[in-house]
Amino acid sequence: MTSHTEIVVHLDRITKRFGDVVAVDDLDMQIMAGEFVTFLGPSGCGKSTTLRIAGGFERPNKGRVVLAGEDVTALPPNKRDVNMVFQDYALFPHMTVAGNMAFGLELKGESRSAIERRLDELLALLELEPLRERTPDQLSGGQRQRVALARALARDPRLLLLDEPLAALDAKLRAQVQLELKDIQKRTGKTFFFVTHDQDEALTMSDRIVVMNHGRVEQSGTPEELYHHPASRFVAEFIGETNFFSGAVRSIDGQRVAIDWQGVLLHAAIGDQRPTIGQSVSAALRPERIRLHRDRPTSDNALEGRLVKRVFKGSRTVLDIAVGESAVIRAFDATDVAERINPGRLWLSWEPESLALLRD
Amino acid sequence: MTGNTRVLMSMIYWAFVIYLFVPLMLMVLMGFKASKFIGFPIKAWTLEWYLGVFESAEVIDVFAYSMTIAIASTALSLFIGTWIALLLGPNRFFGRAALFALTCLPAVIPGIISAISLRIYARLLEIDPGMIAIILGHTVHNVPFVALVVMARLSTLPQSQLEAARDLGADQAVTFLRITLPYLKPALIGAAVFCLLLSFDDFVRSFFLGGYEPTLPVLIFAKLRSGMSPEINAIATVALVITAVLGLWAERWTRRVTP
Repeated sequence: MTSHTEIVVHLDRITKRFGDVVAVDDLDMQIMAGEFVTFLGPSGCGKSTTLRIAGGFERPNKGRVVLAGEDVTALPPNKRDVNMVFQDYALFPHMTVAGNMAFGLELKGESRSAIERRLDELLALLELEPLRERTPDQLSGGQRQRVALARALARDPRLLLLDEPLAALDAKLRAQVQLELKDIQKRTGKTFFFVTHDQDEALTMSDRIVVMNHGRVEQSGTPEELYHHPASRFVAEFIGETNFFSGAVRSIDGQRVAIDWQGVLLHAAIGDQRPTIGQSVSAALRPERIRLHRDRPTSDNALEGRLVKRVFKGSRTVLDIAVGESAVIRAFDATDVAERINPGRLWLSWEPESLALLRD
Repeated sequence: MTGNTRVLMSMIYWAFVIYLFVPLMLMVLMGFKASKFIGFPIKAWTLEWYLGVFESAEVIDVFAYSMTIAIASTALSLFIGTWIALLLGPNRFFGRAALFALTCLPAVIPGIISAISLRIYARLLEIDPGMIAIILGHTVHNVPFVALVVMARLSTLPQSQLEAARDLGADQAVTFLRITLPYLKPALIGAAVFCLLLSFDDFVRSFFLGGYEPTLPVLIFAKLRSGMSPEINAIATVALVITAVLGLWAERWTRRVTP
């Protein structure tokens, strides 16, 4: 595996406008060699535009695209050492699987024998050997996706762009393909620039996730960092389920902060934030971090509540607990634990580290 | 639908089919009549008229002449029509709507008016009546059909196909030759057959733009003026068979290749 130290692409303060709409707003991002980076965000957040700028399909209004140290901002797609897997795969219908894969190599001027060798290698890697002479209309959705990947890998590009390539697959196949894709990325050591709106995909595959909103980067980090330490309310809401607590800061003690939430003091981890006393802040708490008790626990964070809803989800159970006047807090618990909880009054508690202070 | 309506519907359908085909059948039948005059009763049968078609140098020459004109005008129409379709297809530019309307115009102008104006225009350009003038005339008439068919096909070509080609290293010319053109193939073949048939069948333009050498419809017309004889039926039947075979083959082929 590569050590992620060499910069493959630098999107240098890119801005892209379509008419009055700012699709990408002063985005600055570097992708390292061998990294699997996912740009995650709702539709219209600018993630696909960013990908298309890297591929050369859109020209930014401002900023530069630097690929392996070379400014390629003005170069068309065919002059860039970058290949793309399209959302609809864009396989050429009048060519076979082998023909599709050879297309880019022929244009590179490779010899027939070199092309054959490369095809053999990729067909074996992606287990496409039996489909070699088929045409795209004779393939299933999953097979098409693999052919599209093979075709994009054929030219051995510095950077592989993937534009929601799993969106067209059904849920079960998608879960399987996610793992395959990650495996292929690891085995080839290629740099993947993946775009999706599906947080599950992003969490499963990425080395690093870049969450985008309104053309800007909300947060960039490993899936664990983003999940456990979301920087903003948007990130906390977009990835996984979250309970939010807002209130004024009462005291700060090292890495801990006490927040006045509806008259109860809650203790949270400061993380990267710099709150001041009296400031109004928000904090996020993941439902699975909450523990439930019959009697008042000895914990810094304890709330009394009433179980109002219980939803069975198989291995785990979702519990909605009413606390105070109007708040409903959601907790996940293993089903065998949840089954022992009686309806009626109960206590919640969590570690201060689980309550993450947010930027806004 | 009740049983009765279904029966009624199919009766109407068959009545229409008979109405369509009886005249053609009569024409074919009369070609076998051993007599100089067309009409019932047919007392004796002969193959003389049909054999005559293939023995007559005049008729063979006219067939070849018509074919040459059809093929040449079709080739020209495909080239110009595709060019226009590519220009009009994806681009937004000032005057696009006007250019589109102008492109379609020759298809809807009455044949006789178009023929007269083409004749005047040809004389202005000092093109003598004859093959070249007819080819150009047929091309003007055929280009709109090619442009429309190709534009329709082009509008269904996903943008990502072109982007994928560019992404894999193709410049615009290679993308056109290796992606766009193969994608347009069914439309081009359909348009080509249509143009061949239009040209082969055309009388008015060929009549006005032609010189001394007649095309097939012009020859049939000339022979008609000197009196109806089963010879005409035989010539027309041969022409009918050729066009029907070409048309049916094209229809089948297009259905097979269109995804």
